[in-house]
Amino acid sequence: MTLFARTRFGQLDLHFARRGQKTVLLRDVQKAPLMIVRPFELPCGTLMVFIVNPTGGVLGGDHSEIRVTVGEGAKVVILTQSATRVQPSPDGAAAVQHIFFEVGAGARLEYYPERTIPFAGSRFAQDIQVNLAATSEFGLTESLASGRVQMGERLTFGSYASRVAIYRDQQRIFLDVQRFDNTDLDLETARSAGIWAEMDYIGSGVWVGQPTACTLAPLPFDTEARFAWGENHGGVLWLRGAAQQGPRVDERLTSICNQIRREWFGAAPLQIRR
Amino acid sequence: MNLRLLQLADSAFPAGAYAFSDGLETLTQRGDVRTADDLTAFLCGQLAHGWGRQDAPACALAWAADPATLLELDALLDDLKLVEGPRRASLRIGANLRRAALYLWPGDLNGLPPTRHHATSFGAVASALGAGREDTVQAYVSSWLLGRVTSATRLMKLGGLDAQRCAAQCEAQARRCVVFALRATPDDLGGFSPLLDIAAAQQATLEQRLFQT
Repeated sequence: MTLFARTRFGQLDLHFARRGQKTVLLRDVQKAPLMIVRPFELPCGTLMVFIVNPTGGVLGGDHSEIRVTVGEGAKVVILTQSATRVQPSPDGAAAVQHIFFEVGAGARLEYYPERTIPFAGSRFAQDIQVNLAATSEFGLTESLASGRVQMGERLTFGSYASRVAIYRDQQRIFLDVQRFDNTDLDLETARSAGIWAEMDYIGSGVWVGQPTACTLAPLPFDTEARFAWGENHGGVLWLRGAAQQGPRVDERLTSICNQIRREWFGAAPLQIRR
Repeated sequence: MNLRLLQLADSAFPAGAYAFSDGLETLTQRGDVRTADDLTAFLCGQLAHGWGRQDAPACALAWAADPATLLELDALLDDLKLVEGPRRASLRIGANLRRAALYLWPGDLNGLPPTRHHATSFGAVASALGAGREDTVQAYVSSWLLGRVTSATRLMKLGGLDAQRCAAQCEAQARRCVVFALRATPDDLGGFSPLLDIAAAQQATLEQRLFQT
């Protein structure tokens, strides 16, 4: 990287372990603009960490790399402090984020980042790889806006791609590739039923737990906040949602997260004040 | 175009695709697809962002592929088809298509490598029957498009002629879909159709339904 480079390479390497009855952060490497706020323990015994990006967003051409290792028996939840605003670069390069999670036996990792907001002309590509042991637990939610909705900017970003691959004992048990190429800015096609329709916020999630604890009643139908979940061919729980209003997506994601925490993970609801 | 390919892609070919709507039934019942214009937009949306980014390229990649590649493509489709209904439909249509093709052309298909999903089975069978790669993908895309508009005539107030007009209006998008499919690698498979995923997952809960998915 040169002195005058306009893009950044942020890096975060976190290593959690269990010490006695507690989960502790053993080691952390932080390279700006990726930083963490000091971890603190939730009443349920889970260690919570906020990832912070003080620059207020990512720029096309930026590269972020996050590596998290959760040792045997440790329980960790990782959140982001604010939405990820994706800004375009003059040369059309994508902002790229690589995330690697390694979760040991009997350990649990949950990653619930805030919304991704792609600005007009921006491109974003994210790759999340999760390696689990046979008895690990894992949860992830994602939320995407159609743009800076409050400013009337909708579906004017260039592209969005998020690939989530989960492996258990080296065997792929889940793969979700959400890739929306909006290069043509063909609003009629993008707004068609089945894609965005009249919605401006999309949510998704995936959870891996112990299959015997699974209870999946169909989610109630709601025209304003449409959500559905199911199991993939490997028994992994996936979630899709969409709403016109961002808070509706957030409410449902939070409520479903807490339901799964209770029913699958035997953990208390997350009560987070950002 | 290869006559056998036309037969394989015909809606009357006994693969059973007519029994599945993959979420379109939910969208029509809930009023999201009500008019011919809605249907055209839905089809174009799927060609550009949904089905066209997953099944069409899988078919192109399966054409004349070796058994190991086909195995990997089927595993990839198992993963990418998150929603159970469309995943099972793809597997059933794939199995039916193979069975019918093997019955009709046992000599030509002797040694056909194993395939499971509709896209991979169509690509593998078409190549074994001597169809070219581009023709195969065009036929596959056309078959999907015409299958969906035929389903729509049963789900909506839409006559046969108007339904065919919807398909005709998707021609440019269908061509782009074929071009994308022919250039794609396995890493390109994926798509973005959250509201169809939701509709397909909810299809099983509809009080009345014509289609299995």
